Amino acid sequence: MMQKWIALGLVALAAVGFLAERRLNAYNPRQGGVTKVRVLVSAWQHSEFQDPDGDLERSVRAFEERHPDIDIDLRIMPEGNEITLMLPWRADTTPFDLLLLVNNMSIVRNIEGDFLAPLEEHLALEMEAGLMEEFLPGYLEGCRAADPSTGEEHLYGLPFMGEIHCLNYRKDVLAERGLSEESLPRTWAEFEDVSRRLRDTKAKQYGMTFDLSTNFFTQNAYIPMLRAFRGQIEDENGRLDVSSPQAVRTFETLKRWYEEGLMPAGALTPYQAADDFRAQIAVLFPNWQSRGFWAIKGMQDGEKHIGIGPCPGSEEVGALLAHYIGVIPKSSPVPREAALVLLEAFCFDLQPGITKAGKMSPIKHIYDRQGRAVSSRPVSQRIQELRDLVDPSYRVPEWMLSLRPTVEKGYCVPDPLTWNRVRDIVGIEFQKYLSEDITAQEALSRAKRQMDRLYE
Amino acid sequence: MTRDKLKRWSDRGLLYGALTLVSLASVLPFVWIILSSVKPHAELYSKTLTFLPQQYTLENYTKMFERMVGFGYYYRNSIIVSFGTVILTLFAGSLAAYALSRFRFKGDNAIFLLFLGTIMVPGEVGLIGQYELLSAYKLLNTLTGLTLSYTAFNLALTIFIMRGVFSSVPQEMLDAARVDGCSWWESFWQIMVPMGASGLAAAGTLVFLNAWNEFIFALTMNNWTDEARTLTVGIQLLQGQWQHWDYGVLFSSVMLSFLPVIVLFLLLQKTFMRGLTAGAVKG
Repeated sequence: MMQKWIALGLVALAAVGFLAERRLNAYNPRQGGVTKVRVLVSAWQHSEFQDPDGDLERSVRAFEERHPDIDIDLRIMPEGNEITLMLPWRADTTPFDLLLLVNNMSIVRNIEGDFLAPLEEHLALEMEAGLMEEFLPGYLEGCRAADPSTGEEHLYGLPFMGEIHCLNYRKDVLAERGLSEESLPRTWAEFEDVSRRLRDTKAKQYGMTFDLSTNFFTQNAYIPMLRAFRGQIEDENGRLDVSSPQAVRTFETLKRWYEEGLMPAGALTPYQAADDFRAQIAVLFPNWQSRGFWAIKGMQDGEKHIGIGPCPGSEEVGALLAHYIGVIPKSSPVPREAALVLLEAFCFDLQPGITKAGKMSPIKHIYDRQGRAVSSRPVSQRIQELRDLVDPSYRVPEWMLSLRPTVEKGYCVPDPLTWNRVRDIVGIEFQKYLSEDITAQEALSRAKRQMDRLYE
Repeated sequence: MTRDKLKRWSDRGLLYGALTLVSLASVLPFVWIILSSVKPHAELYSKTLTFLPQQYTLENYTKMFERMVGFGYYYRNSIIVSFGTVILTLFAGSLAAYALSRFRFKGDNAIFLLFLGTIMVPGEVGLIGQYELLSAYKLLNTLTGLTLSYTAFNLALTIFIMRGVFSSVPQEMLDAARVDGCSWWESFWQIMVPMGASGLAAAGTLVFLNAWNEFIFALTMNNWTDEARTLTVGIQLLQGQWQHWDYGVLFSSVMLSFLPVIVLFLLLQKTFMRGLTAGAVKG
């Protein structure tokens, strides 16, 4: 008898759980005159934009105060897993109305899948008032694309946070070796020269390091150097260039530096270069500004030890850029409200919080007001309202201002849809080139053949 | 010392040496994680590698609790889902195993082989199908849905273990119970369950481990709110941009995540070992 009750109890418990959870999961976007906008940020954005002044929470609450009829439900997810959202999107539903963890590469597959809502009609007033002029052009890449079914071009998102490839360097070691920050290299030839001077075999001190691992070589070493050698990163077919003389020169230069021991062996191990830089093993580290900023944050008085400046050559040809774009799924029942949240709370109000987290702001206003204005044009009332949302007392750090000119001519990786495959092909061929007795031309030809097959 | 004695000693030395090496290879990573979780940030990233912390700190744990705001939810959810899965799987699996081991009916072997076949197929193959199913029943992002999903996933393993265990129970005992007036249902509870307790403990431990450590289903089905997330997915929230990890924080979260598993295993290790070998002779 007892067993029967146990069995029945289990079934009853499961039934209660099932019913209770269904009830809790019920979603009603508009209730009592208030619209609920479900906003998804990645977990790291949630903690980094919040630290140290609670900016994320503040900008969200400030928005709610300005718009009492909109309630923001902020949720987090690990980055890279938003791909699972394509499953509900396929069924024309969505658990989120605004996504902030989509980058300029992953947005393409969402547009291709016809999952994103065009923003023009929801931001008509602002677009007419010249909203797009407020953004740095390099950070708008990926936001505009052709509708996969009609071919018409639309705006599918707005950037709210940028990354930039730069030169991270150890101020402390430079000072110890009697080098001033003015002697920082502006070309790759100078970079080699300074690195040689900093190299100290006995003290295990390296002048430079790169992330040459398969995954990151193409993005973090190959492309910025290729471009700085005055190569075009795209060939005539819009694919990553692997056949120009500059591509050969890039391969040869990096191999020579590696073989001469100018960089630690850890350069071939993913993420090791960042750790070597942080542990003072290497002094110059061309990579994203986030790497330098994390090193600053990870030590006491980090600003005294670590510096961030333009990557060699980038002042002339621009820097490699990456950025995060706020997007709204087509299946969202509240696209208009979601677009307003994106624009006001994240693209403008949150910008000081974004730069405090060491990320580049994609809007011009935050830099221009600090005296290095590129142009000041008369703006409409609505644009002025948006600008006024950016805390007027906040000042971006000097290193960020020094990178601003390299954003103006900035560029992104070509063809994001195939990027992961192309990146691996070139990365693997470079590693083979390091270990095999072949010429750079041969290694690049092999990469080209594989890429041709990829595009067939 | 005689030649034989010397040989015995050297053989033993080799054996113990090999066993020590294997044990170290298994245990050292855990010790490394435990020690690193109490090392300060600067030491973790210092030029010189240290095994024992030169300075002890709990800052990684503090940071982890600050960053993983839903830690309590995740822990609670992992416990609910894991124990829920164990209860449901053992209940349904042992009943199925009882039928497959004690009743002869048309297709009984085929059914058993079909169940066994599902063990050979990687669980991820069914991910999209299960997602669609849970979506249709509005069970996405619910603990009930994830528990049912894990139950389905672990059922074959439980049936496999319990069928072996139940087959080793002497038929005479069941016959005697039947003569005394026990129904099949009562025989199951009063004979099979007590006799197969060690098997149930072994299967339960394995199912618990599978559910506790499972990641990809939890990530796909239960990743939209803190209220539904499990610990494995919660730990992934600590990952920074571009797969950047704060190792100290990562180690402290891993340390806390495997604690209940170790406690459970220590409590049940004897029963677990007995249960794993229970059906090995007959079945």
